[in-house]
Amino acid sequence: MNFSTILKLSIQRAIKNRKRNAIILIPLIIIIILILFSITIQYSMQSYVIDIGFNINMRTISGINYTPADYKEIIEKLLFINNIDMIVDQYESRIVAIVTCEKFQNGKTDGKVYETPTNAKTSPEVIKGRKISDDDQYVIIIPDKIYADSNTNRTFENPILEDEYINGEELLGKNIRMKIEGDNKELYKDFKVIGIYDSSKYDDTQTIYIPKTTIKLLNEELGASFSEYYMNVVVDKVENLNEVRNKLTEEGILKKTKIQIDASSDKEVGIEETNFISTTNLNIETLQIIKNIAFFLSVSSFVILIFILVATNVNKTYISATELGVLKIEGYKDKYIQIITIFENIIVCIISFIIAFILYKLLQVIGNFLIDCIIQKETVSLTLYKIREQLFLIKKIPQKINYSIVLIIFSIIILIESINTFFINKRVLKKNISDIIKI
Amino acid sequence: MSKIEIVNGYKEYIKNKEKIVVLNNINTKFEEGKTYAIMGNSGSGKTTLLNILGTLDVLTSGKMLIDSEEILRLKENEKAYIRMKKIGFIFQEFYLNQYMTVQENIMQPMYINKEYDKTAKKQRTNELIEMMGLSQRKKHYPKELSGGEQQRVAIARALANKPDIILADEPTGNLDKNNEQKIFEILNSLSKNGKCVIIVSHSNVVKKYADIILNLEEGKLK
Repeated sequence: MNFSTILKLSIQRAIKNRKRNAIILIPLIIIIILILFSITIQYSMQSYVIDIGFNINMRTISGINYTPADYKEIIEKLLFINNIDMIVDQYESRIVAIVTCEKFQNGKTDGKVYETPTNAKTSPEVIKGRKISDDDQYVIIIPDKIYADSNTNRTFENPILEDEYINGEELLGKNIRMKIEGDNKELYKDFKVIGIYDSSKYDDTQTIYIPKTTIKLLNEELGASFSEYYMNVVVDKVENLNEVRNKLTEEGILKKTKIQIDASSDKEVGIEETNFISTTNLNIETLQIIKNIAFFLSVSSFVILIFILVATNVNKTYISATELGVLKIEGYKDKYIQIITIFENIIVCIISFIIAFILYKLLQVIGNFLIDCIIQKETVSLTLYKIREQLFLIKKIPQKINYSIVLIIFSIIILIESINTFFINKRVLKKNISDIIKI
Repeated sequence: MSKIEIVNGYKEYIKNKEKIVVLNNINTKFEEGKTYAIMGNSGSGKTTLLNILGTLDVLTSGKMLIDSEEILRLKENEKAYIRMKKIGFIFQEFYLNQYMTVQENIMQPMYINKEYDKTAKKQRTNELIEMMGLSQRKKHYPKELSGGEQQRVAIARALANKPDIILADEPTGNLDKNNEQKIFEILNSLSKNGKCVIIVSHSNVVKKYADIILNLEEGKLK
């Protein structure tokens, strides 16, 4: 019996005997969708955590307060702590405000941006151009997409529409004029765009990166004054945040007291504050928890899948025992019966997988549509407001699926199904034929 | 020349630690070109005997020869070959594949027969469909057929690989009188064409068509 005949018979059995194969097909489709769903969550969260971990804000420890007297001592201690890429004081950490970037090339006029200080070590990964070096001064790295309408609020109340973006690549190598506002003064400065970063990875379309030395120059020019003395440190990786934080606390650098200048007396005063740790809207710990839940879901789905494969196969084989008996009576050898039925079940698994994948993608589209509807909805209650906020944050996480894992799971399903079929058939086929057809 | 021969055939079962003798000292020959009817009371071992003749079951002791070849010594694969080439089975319950058409059911045994290429398969199938008067029903599924039609499909399937031996176990058990006669006529015509036809039946109608009637009583064939 040649391979094409075996395949033909297997396909015929798989496709024609829908009622019997539905025993395997339907539960398999449901479980595969669950597995795909949980794999997507895990992989998306993991990728997102890795991607946003590049974001300087995600790995900044803020609120290291100092007095001018202990400034030097703190700096010396910080230099000995590992995993710190950048230290900025208040003069280097922010300009009073950068309001707009003007003169975009493609018809849009301006966009509201926010600056983040950077140095050679903390300069963001660029998709085009180059990073900031320590010698640079009036240069910037901008996002690949910039929100052009300064009046539009990039929140869940006003989600971004595609046509409001400016293509950052068009500005690469060019100068941008920026309006920088101080308390009593405003400046117009030209900055050269030296690099473009992927805004989806950094979770930001409005942040530009400026050398911290330039920020200091601008603050000096603005005559900026700050009511607090503080430092921020940027850790090399988000995984090292806790370690560095603990070290700072150990060294007495990270305290619960904030030092501030009292406006009336012009004296330094200490104020108790309990939380200096920078947080994100959807912080990494939350994402890790979601990822772990998804992992648990995928493992348990997989266990259920194996159970389903075994149980449905036993059921199906005993239902079709008479058929197997008739094949034997007709003169089919056991090995051909095995191969035909194994191929049949593999084909059913393949069909299940394809249907499950299509349904999963459909559910994804419907789910995203429903999330968008909820996000767009006018707020009617506090609960809905909170739900919308969370959905908006979740929606920012790009949905990614790890196709290698999907392929591995698919292969495991095929393998289990084949082994399962073989052993169940073997048990049936070793009986007397007269007994098989009576099962 | 005898097609099938049993020498000192003995068959027993052990059930609930009790020995049940089904066939005892069976010595008989079945020749081609004849119709044999095996009759007896319920539980007398008729089906067991038929299963043994068809290599679906084995004797506890004794010899069985098909075309002078000793069957007991053969491996399972060799028995499968004999079933494919030499034996056609017909059952009371028909045992047709419900999800296959008449054509597909008849063609199924031919896939393992190397003598048939694609064209030959189709030709043989059409031949059998014509022979059984099922031309109008070839694309139908078993559930769309009457009992008599289903049994004719089963007979056509049994004849697919041109076997010399036809074994029929209560082939008319689920049929009405009209269809019963038609089926026995068909089976009888097969023996007229040189096949060895062995029918197990309760029905007295079979006596009209059988050349030799054998009674199975207390494990012995008379």
